[in-house]
Amino acid sequence: MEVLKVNGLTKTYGSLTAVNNLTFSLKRGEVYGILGPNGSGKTTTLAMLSEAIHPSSGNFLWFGENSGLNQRSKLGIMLEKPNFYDYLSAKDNLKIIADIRGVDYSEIDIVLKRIGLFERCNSRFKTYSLGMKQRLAIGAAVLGDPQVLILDEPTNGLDPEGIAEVRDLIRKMAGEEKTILLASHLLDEVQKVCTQMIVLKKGNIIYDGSVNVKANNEIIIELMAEDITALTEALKQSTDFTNFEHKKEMIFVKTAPNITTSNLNAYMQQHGILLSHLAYKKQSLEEDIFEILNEIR
Amino acid sequence: MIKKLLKIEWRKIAKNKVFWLMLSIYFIALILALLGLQSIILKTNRNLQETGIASIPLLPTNIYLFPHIWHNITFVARFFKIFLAVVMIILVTNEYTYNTLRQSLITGLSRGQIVLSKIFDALILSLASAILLLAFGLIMGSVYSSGFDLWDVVRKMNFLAAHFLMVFGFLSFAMMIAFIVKKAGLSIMILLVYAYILELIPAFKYSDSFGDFLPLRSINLLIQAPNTPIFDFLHLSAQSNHISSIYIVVALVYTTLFCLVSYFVIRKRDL
Repeated sequence: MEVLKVNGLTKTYGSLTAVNNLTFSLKRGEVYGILGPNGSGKTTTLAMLSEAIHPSSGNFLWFGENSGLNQRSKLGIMLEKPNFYDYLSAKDNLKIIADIRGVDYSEIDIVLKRIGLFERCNSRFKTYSLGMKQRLAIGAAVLGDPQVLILDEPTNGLDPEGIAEVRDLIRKMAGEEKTILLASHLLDEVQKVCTQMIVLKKGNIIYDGSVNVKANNEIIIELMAEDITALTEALKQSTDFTNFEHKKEMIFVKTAPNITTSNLNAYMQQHGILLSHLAYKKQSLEEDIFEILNEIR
Repeated sequence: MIKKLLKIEWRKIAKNKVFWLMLSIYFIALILALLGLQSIILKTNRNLQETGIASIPLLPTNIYLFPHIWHNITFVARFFKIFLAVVMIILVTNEYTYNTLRQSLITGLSRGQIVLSKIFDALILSLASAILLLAFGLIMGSVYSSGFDLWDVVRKMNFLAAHFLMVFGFLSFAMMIAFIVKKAGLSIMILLVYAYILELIPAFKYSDSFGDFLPLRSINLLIQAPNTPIFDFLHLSAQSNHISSIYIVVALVYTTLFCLVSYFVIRKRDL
């Protein structure tokens, strides 16, 4: 069942296109990542899906309906930085959230314990560290146990321990059949938490698919030889190795998975080239992504 | 839904020290002014007579008598509503400062409910101000009036209703500016400059035609200066012992307009 369907979503500010023609969909129970560097349009996208900002064009459907209050009550959202009344305590701020959502106050303590703020829940928001503020924002999003979570950079400002806790929390909620849309500029985070992802670059989707599938497609073999010119000449003669790159002293050959290092070594010996370095390297997703980012740039 | 919005607003206000401090300053300043007015009037009367400018008292000798006390104190209170408007501006701009408009929206309030919450704030502040004047009037009136005639006590209480409408209209104007401008300081500046400079010029220049129907001027004209010799002496045109229904209608129209503009600004804006 489709939870969210986004169709040609676009946001422009004057001549700047912050988000360009996004189309993707989210199925029930999916943990979807939006990956992209700062300023790539992640928050703008999530803010549009939360109805905080108006799209310039395009539309989206939550639960198959044009959005409205009914749909929004099923969403738990945190956007960018935590926004709370700084003269109120965590508890009072969550009471306001509970009032808006019509959630029973008894759930507040449960959430406070879950986000590790229970001991400090009566201190005013302004006395909190960035990490604590961030936790409260996550708490506000999960209060009332919404079916869908929209989390924008949820681990921002957290220490390593906090990051691990938040990721655990997200994975736990993913296990509870929740649909999660998570934006991050950290590939590692998206890979650890999500199953599907889109990669955003300057407001455009440049990748949409599994967080793993791309990594198995290509293999890179590193080559070095005394006579680098002869090496490149030899590579050019073969139709198997046309896709290669020359970086400093090393040559990186992209090949299909059926080519192995021994194939390559044998081929080079036929051409009388002695390799001084030969290594097989499975390309990591991170490199894939940076490559995609580079291609666009 | 109304109850829910009121409850949420109360949560925000209850522990907001700045709000309570500003509200107290308004109440104290207003009561001190109302208490001190009598002696100022008596002294002015005496001075005028001693210097031979006027042979008769130009001002009423007792402003706390039923039923005129209601007109007198609401007329004085007219000049203090600016303090309440500052409170109103802070309530709205706080939501921008803490970016809680966005938080409320993504948590589940609609844009209309967000504006409606602030309209409720304005209503409650206006009501509180009217109740303060009611209490003050009842106490001072009982102390100074000889005898007790219920008809005299209630006869001019419609001035309290006019006061409520005037303050509410003015606060909606302040709310509208705050929603548009977002910043507290700038909103207060704009309100002061508009209310005390910008609008006064056309209001004075075109007082024969549309001058009296400018937004803040017409709201002020709900409660005009009490008819007293001093105001005749000063050639003050806007004095009347009655509340004219035309200004009630005009004030209602403007107040509705201010609320609608606030709503459309928030509906259209990215939060």
